[in-house]
Amino acid sequence: MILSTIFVTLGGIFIFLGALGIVRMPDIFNRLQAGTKATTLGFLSIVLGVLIMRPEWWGKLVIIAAFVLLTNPIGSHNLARSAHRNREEMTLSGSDALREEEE
Amino acid sequence: MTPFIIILILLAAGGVLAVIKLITFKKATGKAVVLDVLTTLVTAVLVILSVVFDSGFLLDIALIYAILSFAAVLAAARYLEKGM
Repeated sequence: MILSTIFVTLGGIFIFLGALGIVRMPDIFNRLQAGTKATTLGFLSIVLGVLIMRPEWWGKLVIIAAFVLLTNPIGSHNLARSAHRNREEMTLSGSDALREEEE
Repeated sequence: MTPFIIILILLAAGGVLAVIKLITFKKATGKAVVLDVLTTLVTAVLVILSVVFDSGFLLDIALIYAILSFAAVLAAARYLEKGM
């Protein structure tokens, strides 16, 4: 009970920080970095906490965790590629090495 | 159950922040990024609600929502890539 509460609390904090990173970050690639990785970790932590609390639901929980773990990086990769092709700017580094390589 | 309610309030605050940025962003790619974060957040809320209401039925809804949101984000990204 205490362990599952700790895991769910940690996951909730990670997802909230991911949403906060959307607000704070200056650039679309930084927003992808903050938003996708942190929320994936937080979601897996929440699923782990629920799995400790209710072990009889392990089948559905494992399926959901595996699906999110597989599909979230695919979605963020596609978003990053569409942002690159749409010529979004990088504000922090000042130069885009991949674009200079392509041109 | 009380700590789970507190976590749900924290996730609701994150959702409000994400919806505000979803409205105020100018470019469509930024909105798609916020959409990606928001769907993961809603799936996590559904998983926590299944414990609070003590029904495994909500886990099925969470799985279907995860599948549909993945398809939606992928379709939005592909449309933004080819649509310019």
